[in-house]
Amino acid sequence: MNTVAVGFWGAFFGSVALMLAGSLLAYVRSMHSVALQGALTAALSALFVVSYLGWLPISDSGIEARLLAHIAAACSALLGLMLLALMGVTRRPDREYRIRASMLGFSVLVVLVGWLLPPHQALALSSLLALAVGFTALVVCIRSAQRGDQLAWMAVSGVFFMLLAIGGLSTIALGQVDAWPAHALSAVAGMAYLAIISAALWARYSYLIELREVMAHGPSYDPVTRMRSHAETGQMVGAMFNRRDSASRPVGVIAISIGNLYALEKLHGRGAVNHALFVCASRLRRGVPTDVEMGRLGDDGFLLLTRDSNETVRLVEVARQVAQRLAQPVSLSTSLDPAAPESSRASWVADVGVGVLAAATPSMRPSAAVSMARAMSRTAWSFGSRIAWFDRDIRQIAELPLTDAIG
Amino acid sequence: MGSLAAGFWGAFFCAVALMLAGSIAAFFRSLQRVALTAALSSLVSALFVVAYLGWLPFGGPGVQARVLAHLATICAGALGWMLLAMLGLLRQPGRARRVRQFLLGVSALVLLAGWALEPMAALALSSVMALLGGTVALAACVRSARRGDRLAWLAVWGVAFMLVALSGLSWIALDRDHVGWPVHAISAVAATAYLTSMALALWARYSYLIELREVMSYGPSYDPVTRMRSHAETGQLVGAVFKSDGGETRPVGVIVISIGNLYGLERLHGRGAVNHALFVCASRLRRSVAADVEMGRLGEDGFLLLVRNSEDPVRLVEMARQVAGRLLRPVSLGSSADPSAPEARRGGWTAEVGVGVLAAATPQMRPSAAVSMARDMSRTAWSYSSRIAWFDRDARQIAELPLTDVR
Repeated sequence: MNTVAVGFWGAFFGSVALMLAGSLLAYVRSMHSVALQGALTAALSALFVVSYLGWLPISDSGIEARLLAHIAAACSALLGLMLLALMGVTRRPDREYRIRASMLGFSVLVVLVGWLLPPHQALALSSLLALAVGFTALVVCIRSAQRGDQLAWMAVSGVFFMLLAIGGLSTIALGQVDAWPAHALSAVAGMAYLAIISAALWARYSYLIELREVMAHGPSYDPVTRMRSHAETGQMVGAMFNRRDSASRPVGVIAISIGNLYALEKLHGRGAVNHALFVCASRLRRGVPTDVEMGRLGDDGFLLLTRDSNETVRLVEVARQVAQRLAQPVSLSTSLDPAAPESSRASWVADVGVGVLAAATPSMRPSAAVSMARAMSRTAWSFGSRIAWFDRDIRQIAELPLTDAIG
Repeated sequence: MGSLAAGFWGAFFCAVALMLAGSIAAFFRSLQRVALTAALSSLVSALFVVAYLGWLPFGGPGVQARVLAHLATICAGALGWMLLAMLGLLRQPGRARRVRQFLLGVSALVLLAGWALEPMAALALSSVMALLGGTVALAACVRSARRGDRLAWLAVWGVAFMLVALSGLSWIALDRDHVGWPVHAISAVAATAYLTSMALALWARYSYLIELREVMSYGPSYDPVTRMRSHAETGQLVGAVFKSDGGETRPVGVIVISIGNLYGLERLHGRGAVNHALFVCASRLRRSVAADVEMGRLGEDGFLLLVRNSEDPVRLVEMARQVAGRLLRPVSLGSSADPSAPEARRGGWTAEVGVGVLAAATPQMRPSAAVSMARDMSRTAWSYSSRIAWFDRDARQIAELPLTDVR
């Protein structure tokens, strides 16, 4: 085979490999059916191409042609079924059953008839079956595209490229042509087919991701920060304080208040506030250990709760880290046009105050602890280090320095 | 070059083409900067590979080696700069200026030294500089990855693959006739992996921007589940549409859709199922309604469609029929409590839709009266078999509107 032709087929197998890698990623993200569909499409098309190019390690051409006939029949039936399923044609159960039965019956018939013929004619028959499946799919796709389905136009072009690739491969396998343009054309058509199928699968996948997000909405979820809402935070506080072993394992409370959100809303509008909250929440999520529970607190704050706050040192470390992270500047988009979040940037620094209340005693009521931590965080706005804690020795709220200068 | 090597390089160029296609798609979604970065990085890598494989259509080996030396130096400088910027190490302006001066100085020095040497030696010098730069970048990546930056691990992989590809390509360029296909294969696979990790990093940035765009639109006037106007904002819309300027009569078409079994669904399957049902209904509405129709949520269980200047009652009726037909199709809901598996355990559900159609004459009818009348009609329509109610002017009462025009 020509070097150029090999290059084009390499490109085809490269896209197969990328599609397999993508479906592996989707599988890890627990989108099993989408991942399976993508991997099956890629692997079946690769198998089809490998066998039609004659790269199977079989020397006898008669046996090879027989094998090819079987592979062609099986692959075309499976790929056609998957395409129809992707387009939602087979959503109604009765129709799905009929389509599946007729497709399988037809391909079994073709394989059986193929055994009555000489090998090369059987191969031609199977190729014809593949083309016929493609044409049927094309007709179905065009019909549903005319009914106004947006996905269907994509499927029409996908099926068109599939027909092109199958036609090219069949002529190559039957030994008619071996010039490199035929190879290049079929390889490019195969790549286009794979690309379109993966785009359709991606549409399905992103729909599922969106759905997963939408299903989480409700009164206990805050969509801007993707944390617990204020009401749900109250529930969490109650649950944390009312554990049985709360006497031996006191709860550590860290409240964070941001002082300049209101001014930001007046100045740049709701979008800028959402942006600022979003950035602060993602910084919090990244900066806080995994055993710390988080939630929104009111309109302008966050609440962090830890079990095991016997080690005050660790709680103080977390508070310092949080204060430092949140005090880094954010570049906010202030444009009113939501389509251009990158244009017109304004730098903004959160006016953070952190209140640390270590080892809330069992005698303390949850609401009192939270409101005390919140009041401390508002006091901390006036401190240089932005962190306030309750100093047990002098029995008053004091500034906590950013470094352990006083031990 | 052997045909196996050609196949592997074909896979690499396929990845380049796919990345270009993706960046074009991102460009049309108006994320220009990300698209530009993706297109530039894929094109620069493709140019680099083409030059190193000796496919440039001019000059003898000497001239080509000189060109390659320049290209390698410039590409190494630019890629190093982009990498450092991606890791966020250039946030401080002072450091950014110093790094830039250092990179420019070293590149100029290497180029000048190259002119004092033989072409092949100059190429070797430039390649060594690129490799050294890559190693330094790898060290920077590992350092910031160990500080907890998740994007940096991706960059570590990308730079490691880039180093492998670069050394393989340098070998190929320096000793073009005697390298075997495994060298080609390894460098092509490494280059493809480099491009893939680059694309993944850009994808992370892109999806962050998409998410941000969504988050910025949250607020009291936006309903995150259906992505339509919220109930409060719908009231504003009704006022704006009904407010006539000048006093001439402009009839407004009001269509209210009420869904009767959402409450039962919530009791049965929980909040997630209700969100899913609302999401599906909203996307069906969006698809089936013309572009000049304004839409919004109405209360907890309904949608409101408003048509300005609806002189044509037939069109209004047609629209109501279409909407009712669409929404009456069954939905397969993810009823599992685990939101990570929306595909598992489907429950079939059909919305109990009622549609009320009202052509309101503007000056005579108050907006709130029109909307509440249409809403009552939609609730009346729950008991009709066609699920559509309208105001029959001849009989002066609310009547059922059949699904087809039998009269």
